[in-house]
Amino acid sequence: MTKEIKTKRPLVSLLSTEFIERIIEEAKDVLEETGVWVENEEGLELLGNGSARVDRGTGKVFIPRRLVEESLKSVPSSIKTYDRNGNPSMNFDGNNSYFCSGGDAIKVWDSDLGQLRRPVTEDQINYVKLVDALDNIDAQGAALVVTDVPKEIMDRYQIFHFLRYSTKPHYAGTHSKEGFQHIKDLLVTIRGSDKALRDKPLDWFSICPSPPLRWSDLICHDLIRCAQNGIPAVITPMPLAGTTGPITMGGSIVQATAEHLSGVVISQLVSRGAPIVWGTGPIAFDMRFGTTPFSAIESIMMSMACCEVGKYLGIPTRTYAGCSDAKCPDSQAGLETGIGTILPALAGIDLIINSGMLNFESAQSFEKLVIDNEICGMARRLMQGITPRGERLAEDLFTEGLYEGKHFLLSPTTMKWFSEEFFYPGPVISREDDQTWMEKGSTTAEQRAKEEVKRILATHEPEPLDKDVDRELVRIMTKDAEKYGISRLPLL
Amino acid sequence: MDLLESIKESIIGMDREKVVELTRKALDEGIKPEKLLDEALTPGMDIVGEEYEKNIRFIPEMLMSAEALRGAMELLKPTLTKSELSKAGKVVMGTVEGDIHDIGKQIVCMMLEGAGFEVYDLGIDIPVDKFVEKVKQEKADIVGMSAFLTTTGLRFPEVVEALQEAGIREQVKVMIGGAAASGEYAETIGADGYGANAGAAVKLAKSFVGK
Repeated sequence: MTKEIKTKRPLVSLLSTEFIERIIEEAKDVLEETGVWVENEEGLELLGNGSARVDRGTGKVFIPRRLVEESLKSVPSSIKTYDRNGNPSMNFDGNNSYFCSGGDAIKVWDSDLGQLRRPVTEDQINYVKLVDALDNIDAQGAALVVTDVPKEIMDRYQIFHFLRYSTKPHYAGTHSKEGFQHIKDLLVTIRGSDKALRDKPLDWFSICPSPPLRWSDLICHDLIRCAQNGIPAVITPMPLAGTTGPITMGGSIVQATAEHLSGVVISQLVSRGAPIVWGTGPIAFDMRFGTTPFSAIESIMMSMACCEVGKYLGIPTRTYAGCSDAKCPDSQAGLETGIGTILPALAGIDLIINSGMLNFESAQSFEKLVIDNEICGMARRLMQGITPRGERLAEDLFTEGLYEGKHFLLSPTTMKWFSEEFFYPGPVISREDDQTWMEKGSTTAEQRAKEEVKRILATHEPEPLDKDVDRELVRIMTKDAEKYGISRLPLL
Repeated sequence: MDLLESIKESIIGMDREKVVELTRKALDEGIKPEKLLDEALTPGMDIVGEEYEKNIRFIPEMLMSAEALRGAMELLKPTLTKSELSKAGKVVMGTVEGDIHDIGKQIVCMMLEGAGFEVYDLGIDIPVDKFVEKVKQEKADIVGMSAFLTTTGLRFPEVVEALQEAGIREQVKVMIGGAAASGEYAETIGADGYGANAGAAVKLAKSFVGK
């Protein structure tokens, strides 16, 4: 019997332990010496009662390192999410990387028109259905900001559609303080009670501090509510290197870390053990165009490095690197998303979001989502690594009487492993011979993706929601919309 | 389940042992070999071929079914007449001289057998004369040539010419395949067709014999 060799999960690292520790120490210095601005009354009170020094005049809070260290001790090191039916879904626990679509896009790529346009409810529903159908996308991002309902209800309108058209877990963010309760009402309708929702998280919130070092009233409010309700809060600092954060990557990572840590403190002061996700870090700023390229290699590097800090602290991590800054699903979109998906997967980041997104996280493309689904499939295979299989690795080389001694196609080991050992992408990735490809119309990846989108939307039927539950969701949402002058929601 | 149906299912199910066992039983019960071919083995392989074309079945799975068929054919051989054995037709296959690329051609051979052809695989590095000689000897319906290298692709027209010189070009269809081949090239050199992949080669062969 040969000794069993464990499969190595491929992992890359950008920072030395020494460097990580220096970042964390300097971030604590920032919290102690520079402080953070907190614009939320509840937050100020919490921090004041929790041994931070609050300067009421400026709204600045100075957080002692002891409080930071104390707070870090109670942050859970893993988070489990559950699907709409309450079945286990994702488990953020170490290096299980999952993929999720992106959110809050204000435009959608219309491949018939060949342009980015404003989305409507029908786009939203179709996008949610598409995510629901794709094998390698584990969760729903907040999809689209549509134009045919009042923007005041947008945050829960997104959740409403996730719940009606998909079983996958999702993330959301509020657009106003009252949004939180509305979203929670919808989630509790699914789970049955506050406690059931706490026990089995279905949704998590994006909590974005405003760089540099500022907690807005709304976001601080949401962070507190998440902690109170056991809803995972994905703290998402996004300093733009050179504009709202220091220009050097190390400097911006320190700032993001300080923002993260202050979020950890607020959350744990509300409720020790409240679930937190260390949600990535700084973004590059293109000094030529004044844009914020999410797919800049430095953005990806900073995201990976920042998550490495989170991992060092034992906190689940997330990045938004799985997107592209291209304006349509072209070659740039493919290559940037490939890099932005594979690298974070190799960094062991728990949740990699933004599949399907274009144009600095502001647009969705149905076609790109289908293309990205195959990228995620490849990344998933990569993460599985190379497994030593069998008593002898090359068993067939030692087996006599293989088919005419010429090939391994009929070997039992081939039959046993060919489908598990290799990932077979398609229909976007073309691996046919050129003749067959020509016979099928010499299509580009984008054209094949478009066909696949059509096919899925024509055939995929999301698991229907219980009729009574559905009726209740519609009732809640309609009542909410009525307050904003809408008596009938689109497509209801 | 009806015995013929079970044999068909076992072909689809890639179960060589069961196919052999059931075929033996069928023969013992007096079921005619032709009936076995027409109503169990061939329809089973037809489904396998369809599934392969639709990407439901992958190459090893298709070949396993072909292997199960081979098991049955060994039992049938002594009782079938020569014409029944090569019902679909006879194919001479080989990789041309100077070229040793084998795997693609081998897959085509196995798939042709699965489709009911009688296949004579000459092997690799086959000189022009050998192709001609074998075609003559077996009165083959089809000759299939494979080449991977651009340089060895030049052997294709030489074989076509040699068949002409031997006066048997009209009796045999010529198909080419491999990286050195293309549909255009097939036309240029006077071959009858090009198979871009194993599935296409089998289709082409079937079209040659009117199936």
